[in-house]
Order: sequence, then structure tokens, then C-alpha cells
Amino acid sequence: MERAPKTQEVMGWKVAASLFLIATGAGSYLIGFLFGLIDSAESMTLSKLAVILGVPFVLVGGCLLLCDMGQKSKFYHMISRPGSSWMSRGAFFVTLFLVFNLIHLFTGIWPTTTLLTYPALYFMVGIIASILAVLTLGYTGFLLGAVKAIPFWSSSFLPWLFLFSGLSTGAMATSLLFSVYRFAGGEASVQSLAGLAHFNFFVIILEAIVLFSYLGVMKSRGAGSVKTLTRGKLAKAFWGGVVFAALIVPFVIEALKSFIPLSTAPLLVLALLGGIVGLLGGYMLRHVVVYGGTRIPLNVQGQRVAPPPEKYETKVIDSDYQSFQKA
Amino acid sequence: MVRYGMVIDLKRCLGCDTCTMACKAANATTRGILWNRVLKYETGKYPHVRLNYLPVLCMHCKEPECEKVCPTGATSKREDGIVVVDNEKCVGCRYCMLACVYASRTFYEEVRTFYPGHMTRFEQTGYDRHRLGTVEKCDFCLERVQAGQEPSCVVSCTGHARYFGNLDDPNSEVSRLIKERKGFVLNPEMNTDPSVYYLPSESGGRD
Repeated sequence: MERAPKTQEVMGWKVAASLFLIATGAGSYLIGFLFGLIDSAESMTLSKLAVILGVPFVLVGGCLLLCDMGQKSKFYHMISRPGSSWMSRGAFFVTLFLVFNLIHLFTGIWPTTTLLTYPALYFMVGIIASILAVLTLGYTGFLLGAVKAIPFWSSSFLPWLFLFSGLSTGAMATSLLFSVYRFAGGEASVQSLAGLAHFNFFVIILEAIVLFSYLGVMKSRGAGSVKTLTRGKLAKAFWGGVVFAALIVPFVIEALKSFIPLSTAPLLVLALLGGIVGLLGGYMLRHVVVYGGTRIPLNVQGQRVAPPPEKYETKVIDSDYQSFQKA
Repeated sequence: MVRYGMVIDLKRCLGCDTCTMACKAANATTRGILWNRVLKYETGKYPHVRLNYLPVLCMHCKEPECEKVCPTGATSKREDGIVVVDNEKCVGCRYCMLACVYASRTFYEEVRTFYPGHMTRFEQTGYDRHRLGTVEKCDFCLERVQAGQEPSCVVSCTGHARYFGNLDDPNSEVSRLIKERKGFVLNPEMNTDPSVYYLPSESGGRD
């Protein structure tokens, strides 16, 4: 019997969370590097906080991917085929990004203190780490895009969507950490927070344009997935988690922070609130993309047949056996 | 050159699942894992409907998507066209399962014995061939093929619906059947060039 298109069951929340964490880490590093270029006292604290965020986010994201693997002890095999596999390339980018991010982070500590005496070298490390951050941000889109069996993922919009979303969540994670730092008694000017909000305001607009263009294109190619997202079982996650939490709320908050002169306390509260809601929305975006992937049906001379299930439920046999034992 | 392939005559398939069980017995896969499956689907509109059977297994594609995406090289295509998974190299990322156009790969996630808490002698001997946390699939019964035998699903098929042979040999039975009976492959638009062909059911199936 031909069944309604069923969403994939191979990848779950661990993959969605790792895509989100890795992108957020790379995004915050990139923001930190860019704000570091401004070379003003106001932006220095924000830049340092953003660079600090890169490592833990990417590390936790990488660990989640590792947890999802069947053979965890062999993870190092992952980088053996960067020539053909996006997963291999991704592992390569993430590892190198972590290395360069750590060098940047611990510049003032042995053994990389020498970098401080060579500003050009220090700048080069930042440039390389930033290039790797962009690759880390974009590769997740290519990773899913290589799966031709799921047309919803096989789109050139996805790397752009993940790039803008990663930059946005990176900005919101930085705002969140900045406000926590200030509430904890840290000294830093809130001027840079308004600058970051201005940057994020435009990134969110780009993210929204890419997201709705993506869904518009997918209406025909990935109709099953778009239906699942907008009207099906992922509708609440999509409208509430992505449209409201990842786009509308951060957009309004960043607009308030950018264009309305606010005193320090409301600005920090807004940054805290926007950070929490925006990060949740960032995860939800990956969640709906990962869980919304629908396989193409088998084409039997033009007849569409539902593909075999990816997972088998065997609970019936267990219960049968248990009732047999009781008897 | 040899390129092993299979032809399944949908007119002769009874949907009895003997191939499914023969595969399971030959490869001792854990409970819940099937390398060979027989899908059932309806065609036509009431009252003129028909129940059709579609046996599916790894298609051993000439251009396998699973091989392209594998990050470790665990999935590879042999010179004889059989796509194999080296479970020593597989890290269980399951990327290949997503990439497979035919959803013909399975993940050996946990040991599930047929009787809870007890492994039969057959299970004990069979399960040594599998590696937990890796992806598995049909390998055309490679050991049998290397010994000059046909895959277990072919020899066990009660309706004699399956044929196995060299697709590159124009005089082989499989090549002849594909040519004479207009054999087709699943999802030709994906350009994977599968090695499993189907012969149309015409009046086959159960009315």
C-alpha cells in the first residue's frame, strides 16, 4: 500500500543539536574576530567574549556527533576521505578550526605568547581561523545537501541558511554572555552591544529571506517536507520555534537595541532575553530541517511506492514472548 | 569483466517472503534487521485494484551514493560490482543510510535476541560475523558467490522469480531476460545504475 511520505528516522536530536552548536561556535568566533578588527576599547571585551564562546560550543557539538556514532573509538577515521565525503571534510574543518581557535584564545599563554610580539602573525592566525569558521558554518548545509535521496536537503539554499543562522545565533550567544558578564559585575561598555545588535538585525533579515526562498523553492521538489513543516507534525516547532523564536523575537529585540536609545539595564535585559529565545530558535531551525527530511519514494515504472522503513519495531514479539512466559 | 547482478521477475513473485527468511538465516542478522524485504503495494482503483509485491535489497549500484558519502572508505565497490561494507572501517555515522536512494541499509544498533536474555546456538555462531554499531546490508551472499554458488534468496525463491548472473555478459541468462522482457530498474532518474533489475509484472500480482 502506498503510504504518505514518511520523514527520515536515521538522524535525530543529537545531530540537530550538534549542527546548531558547531554553527553557533563558529559564528561567535567570526563575530569576535570581526569586532576585534574595530580596534576600539568598547568592542574589545565583546570580541574576547565571542572568541571564548567558539571553543566550548564547537567542542560540545563535536562530542554530540561522536555520541551519535556507532563506533566512537574510531572517530579519527572520519577525516580519511576529505576528497569525496562532506562528513570527512566537515570533521577536517571542525578539527582545524578548533586548533586555530585555541591558538587565538590562548595567545597570551605559553607556548603562543610569541604571537603577541608579531602582530602580523597573530592577524594571520585570526584570518585562517575565520576562514575555517566560515567553512564550518557552511559545511553542514553541504553535508545534508549531498543526500540526494532527500530532496528537501538537496538544495543550494541550505549552506546559506545555516551560515546566516550560525552568525545570528553566534551574535545572540555573545549578547547573552556579555549581559551575564555585566550582571556578574564585569566592566565593559554597552556601546558594542548596540553595534552587535545592528549587525544581527541585518543578518536576521537575510536569514528570513533565505528561509522563505528555500521553502518556496521546496514547495514543488520537497513538497512532503514543506507540508510536514508548515501544516504537519512539525508545524508547532516551525511556526513557534523557527518563525517566532528564531526570526520575529530576535528581530524585534535587535531593532529595539539598535534603533531606540536605551539605558544600560533594559539593554542588558533585552540582550539576555533575546539571547535565550534566539538560541532556542537556532536549535529549532536545525531540528525542523533534520526531522523534516522526507525520502523520495521508490519509482517502479512510474508507480510511487513508499520506501522500506529505516527502523524496525519488534516490541510486538517481546510482548508476545513475555505473555508466553507468564502463561 | 564480471558485473554481478540480479533479475527479479515480478510476474513470478508470490510475496511469500521466503527470500527474506532465507537471507536472514544465511546471514544471521539480529532481530529487527532485514537485508531483503518484500514490499506490498496497491495499484488501480476500487473495484479494480491489485496487490503487488516488490522485493527490495541492496541494488549494488554502479554509481553508489553510499560509497560517495562514506567518510572512512568502509563502503566500497568490488571489481565484480558488489558493493560491500568493511565493518572494521565503519564508524557507524549512518550517513550512507541517508544517502541510499533505496533505503536498503540497516544499522546494527543493539543485540536483540529472539528470546529475551537468551541467545540460541544459531545466534551465537551467527552474531560473530556482525559488528555492533556499524551499518550492514546485502552483499549478494559474497561467500556463496566466491564459492561458485548463487545468493541464498535466489536458490530459496519458491516461485523461481530470481536470477543471478553476469550483467556484462550479453549471453548470460540475466542479460537475456533484461533484453527480452524489458527489464527495468528502480528510480532510474537518480542515475545510480543499479545491478538489480525487475521484469514487469504484466498480469502478475494477486487480483
